[in-house]
Amino acid sequence: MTTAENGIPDWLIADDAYDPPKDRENFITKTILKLMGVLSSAREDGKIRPEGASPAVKMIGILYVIVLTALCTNAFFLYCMLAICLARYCILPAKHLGRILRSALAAALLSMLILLPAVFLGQPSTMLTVSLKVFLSVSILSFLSVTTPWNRLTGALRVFHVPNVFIFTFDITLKYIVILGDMCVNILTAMKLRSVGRNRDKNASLSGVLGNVFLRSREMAEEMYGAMQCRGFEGEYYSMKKKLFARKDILYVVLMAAVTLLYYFLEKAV
Amino acid sequence: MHIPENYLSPQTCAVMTAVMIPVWVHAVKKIKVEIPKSKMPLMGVAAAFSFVAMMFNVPLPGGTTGHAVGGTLIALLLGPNAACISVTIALLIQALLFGDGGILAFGANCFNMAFVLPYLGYGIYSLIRKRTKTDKGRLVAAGVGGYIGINAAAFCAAVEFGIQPALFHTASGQALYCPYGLSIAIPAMMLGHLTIAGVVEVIFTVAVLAYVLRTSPGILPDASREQEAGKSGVKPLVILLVALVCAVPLGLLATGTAWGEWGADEIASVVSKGKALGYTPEGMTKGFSLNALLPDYSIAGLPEVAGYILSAVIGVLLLIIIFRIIAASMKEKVNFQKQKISETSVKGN
Repeated sequence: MTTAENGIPDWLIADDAYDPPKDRENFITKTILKLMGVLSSAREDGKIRPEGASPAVKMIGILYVIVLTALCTNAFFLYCMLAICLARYCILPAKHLGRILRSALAAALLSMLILLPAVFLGQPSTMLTVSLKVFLSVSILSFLSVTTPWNRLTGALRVFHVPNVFIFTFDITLKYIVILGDMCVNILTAMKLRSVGRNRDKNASLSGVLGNVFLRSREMAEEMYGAMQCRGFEGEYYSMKKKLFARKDILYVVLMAAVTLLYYFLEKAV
Repeated sequence: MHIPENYLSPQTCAVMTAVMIPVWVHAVKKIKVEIPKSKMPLMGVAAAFSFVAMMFNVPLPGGTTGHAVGGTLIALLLGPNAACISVTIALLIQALLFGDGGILAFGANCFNMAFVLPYLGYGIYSLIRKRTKTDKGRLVAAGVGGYIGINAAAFCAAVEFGIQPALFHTASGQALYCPYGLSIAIPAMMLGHLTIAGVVEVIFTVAVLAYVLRTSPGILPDASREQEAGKSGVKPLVILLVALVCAVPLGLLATGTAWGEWGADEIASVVSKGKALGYTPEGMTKGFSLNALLPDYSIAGLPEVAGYILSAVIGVLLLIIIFRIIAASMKEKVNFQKQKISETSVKGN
């Protein structure tokens, strides 16, 4: 009523009755969501301030605990580890807590599902212990990735004497996952917005998205080499060495020693 | 196909990692020769590409989707050695940062997806490619290579799963890791991969290769280099055989110590596991009971109270975590309804 007075024609005000036929584009949505998940965790990572022990010590400790968890035959040890881990997770910020639990619970539930037939094959305790072990290992690993910035982790790889080329590649990969992922999301979103209704070419253009990303990534690699050369890159990659141990790591080492003692005591006792 | 933690015994994981080390060394050496200094960043970008490619859902007839590994595709585009390193780093990032695939099982996952898949897929591709010269032949070769590559990788994973219950179990026969033998693991893995995952891999490989061929064919490795690579395509298979032969005594050694470990406390574990077998099904029908949660918590020298205390501690911690998450999710909610009502009430006044 009021709009007609302003000179807007009626056909612009009338409701559109266009109802485009639905098309199957689940795969685009699924892919976008998956990529977005990775991108958001990568972006969140930039905000993390390193906490606790130094990354190298943390990494060694966590690998050690995962090995012990895998080797142990005593359920009591597993439950002790569960208690220790949960106690540590308790004091994390809720956002981190949610991320850790989401991935760990998903892994544990999946493994329960996979191992369910084993219950009927006469191996009921395997389902419980393996699922618990899966929960522990996955949650410990995601604890590491949630509390440590990723570039610190690559630095920690130096301690394991991983060759420089490998660390260099790892670093570039982490950066380019974000760049390429962003590119994919943009292309996919553009594709989704432009194809209204039924579009037969949608499936075919999937190959175009990745093909394009591949071609672009090659170009970017060449450009990156050019940029590196301009900054004095001669083919040798150096990573800065940092102090391996800090004073706050002592607590970590003590905890590891306690866990080791518990492990040996309980394995003997079985 | 990512093998999670604790489905393979640590001993198997150690053997698989030991097998992968010469492969990695070989791949890095080859890359240093094949790829000039100026292409060094390409390895990282390629790894990022393979990581992103693994996240692409491929639409399947029937409305479902699946995701491909893409190892063969990367091998076709960059050569098998670069593919090996790229997929390895993609797998490492998945295991370390996203909890996808175990960190102990990393060696085994790399063996299946970064070694068997790209090298075999590439070998078969170049074998067929030699016979045909057309672009169509090239696509067929890529499809066949991808299909056989992913199925071979799945078969390796199935064998790794399948040998677990035979090698690692308690004295009473309860499996310590993956409980399914070869007779279950192989059909279960292969059924999915021969049908759905294999098809996804073929669609993915052929479609992207076709696109690259159409838009910029010059970027693919040229024929002369390809034939050279085809020759060296046999070499990895020889290395695989040698590595496996070397690994067999290692595996026996590993299982030997494992058996020794459990042999010493055989009697005790027979008793406790026998008990576990007796009551757990009952516990499962009744839901969670303390017995079901702590199958063998009776420990010599430790009072039974310890089990109760421990479960109480775990329970309290779980409650704290649950309430913290609930509290966090409450905060984020904004009540738009309330605002609307107040607006209308203002208007009414």
